[in-house]
Amino acid sequence: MRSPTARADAVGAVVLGVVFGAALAEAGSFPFRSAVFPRVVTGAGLAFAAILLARELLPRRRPAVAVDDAPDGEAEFFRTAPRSQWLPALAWAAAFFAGLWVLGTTVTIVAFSALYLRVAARARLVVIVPYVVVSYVWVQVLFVDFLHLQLP
Amino acid sequence: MSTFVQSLFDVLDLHTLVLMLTGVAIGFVVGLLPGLGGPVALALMLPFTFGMSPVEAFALLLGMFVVTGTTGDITSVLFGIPGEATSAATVLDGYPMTKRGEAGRALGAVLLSSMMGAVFGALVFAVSVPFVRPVVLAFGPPEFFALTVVGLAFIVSLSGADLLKGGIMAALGFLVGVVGLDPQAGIPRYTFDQLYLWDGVALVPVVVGLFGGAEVLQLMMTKSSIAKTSAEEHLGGAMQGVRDALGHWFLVLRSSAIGIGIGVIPGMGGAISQFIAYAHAKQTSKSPETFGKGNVEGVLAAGAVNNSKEGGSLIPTVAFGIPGSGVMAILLSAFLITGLTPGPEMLTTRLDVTFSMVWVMVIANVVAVALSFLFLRQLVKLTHVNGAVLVPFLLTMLALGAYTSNNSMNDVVVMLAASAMGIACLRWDWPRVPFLLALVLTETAERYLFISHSLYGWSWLQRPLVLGSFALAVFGVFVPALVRYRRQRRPAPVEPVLEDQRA
Repeated sequence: MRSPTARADAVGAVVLGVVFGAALAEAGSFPFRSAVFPRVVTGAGLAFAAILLARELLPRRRPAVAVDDAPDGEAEFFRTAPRSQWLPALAWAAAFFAGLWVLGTTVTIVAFSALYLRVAARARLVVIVPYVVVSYVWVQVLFVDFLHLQLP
Repeated sequence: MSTFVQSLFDVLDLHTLVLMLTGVAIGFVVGLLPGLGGPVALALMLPFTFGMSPVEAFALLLGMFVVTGTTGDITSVLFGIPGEATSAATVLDGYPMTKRGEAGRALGAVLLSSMMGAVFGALVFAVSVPFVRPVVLAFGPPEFFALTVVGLAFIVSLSGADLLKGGIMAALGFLVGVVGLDPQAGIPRYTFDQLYLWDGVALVPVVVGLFGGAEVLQLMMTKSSIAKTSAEEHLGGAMQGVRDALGHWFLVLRSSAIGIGIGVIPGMGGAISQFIAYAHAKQTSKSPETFGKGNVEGVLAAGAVNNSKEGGSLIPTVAFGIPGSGVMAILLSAFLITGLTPGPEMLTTRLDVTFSMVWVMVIANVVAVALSFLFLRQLVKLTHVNGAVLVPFLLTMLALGAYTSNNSMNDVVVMLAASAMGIACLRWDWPRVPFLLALVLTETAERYLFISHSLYGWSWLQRPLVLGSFALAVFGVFVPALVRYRRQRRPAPVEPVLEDQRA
């Protein structure tokens, strides 16, 4: 193993291999018809994970990997972003979802929007006030009045 | 024919029309904003289709998605930043035209060719129905199961050089898909005594988190405006671009045909078709040396293929339940939400829904192009919105989009887990689409496997179409891998297209 990506692949293979292995063992307790599909997919997953692990552990030349389902810039961004970018963003996201859990939707949307726009986006009051009002009205009209949903 | 006409009236029904125009408006803005892609918007809007009729749901979703490609070309031309991954080829000649003061001409050309491509793709989709129908009706459960394997194989082959990771992600998707009560026997599988899991892992929170979570986090981390370069204010000359598109109608038609052809093949990406059409335009041009320096033919080819491919990729999605792309895999979720089963039903009893998709694609694009011409100057300013300002709105969309799936905070937790997984996939180069496709296909695949086994034992594995499909799956996975392997062994030539793009 030479690159951090190869190490991450090996760790991923081990973790997912354990998941597939446990799921395969669990499928043994299902009746035959319920077990066929899970056995096939977990067996295949376990085999793929084992091959991937072997490939990462065995010393050999390995070509660069390219994943085509996301723009390159996005993957590159997450690979190279410094901790100073990760931590505040994750903290804000955690605050939003904790607020949703503890305070409920309405309070969180109003409080979070105002705080985030002021502190993180450095927006002016002339932007913040209409933004918060529109967000509140939008959620009330769309989710409560139109879709008749009980919000958290 | 009467169904075709009736479906037009279904789309023009006031409620449906309003939903489609709402979708067009959202898709319009999303397409303009680089980084917020059509797939993300599609995933975020998916929860809103609960309770809608199929025609209404597709009016909203398809109306939104098909215009993202059209307006994505605007930022490609003006800023050299593709609004969508599938608008990348438009940059190659569109941006050089802007730099030499021909932005209006480039925009006129790309918008009209995009509309022509969309209409052509939609018509081919509609016309293909009579030909596809007898093929689909001749298929039984074993053939449909084999086709799910084919679709999955092609999507796994999209995992670039690393097929193993694609295979693992597909297996993981299937594993998550089987969580819950077994639909055949009612046996709980992998539910860990959690009542919430008896209904299985909800699809919507997974889609929302997997594709939306990473985008929102990236916006939170960068906090910058979406477009980082200033707009060139040379927006005149749009009519010259329109004349270019009409003058080169045969090139537009050929490029559209390329888009449809590639769109039909499951697993082939939209970005690939754009570059193939671009290369074709260059090969057949009288002045290939000016490609990459602002040749309007390059803009026309890239624009035309952008929307025609959607008509092509809808054919396998609707007729066989095999999504032609990652986006179609997300759209396939909408089929399940609205209670539709892709396959024979869509070509017989629900033909009205299929034809309504054709009309939505046509009408949405005509509306989007008309609006683009009307509000070009104002829309360009949107790309300078500070990304951080969008964050509270997008976080709300993520949370409530997931929550509304079952009115459960558990779904929000699932969405957060899917977000973490999506970010990890991006960070360490693991593909997300095979996971999603497998998750979407689990129920269908297991049902067809179960019926096939019940009807034929294991002898169904010897049916010619099944064997042919499995051979195609193997071909789909290993031939591209072999080609890549051989290419990697050779010294890599300098790619002129990439050089142009950098410039």
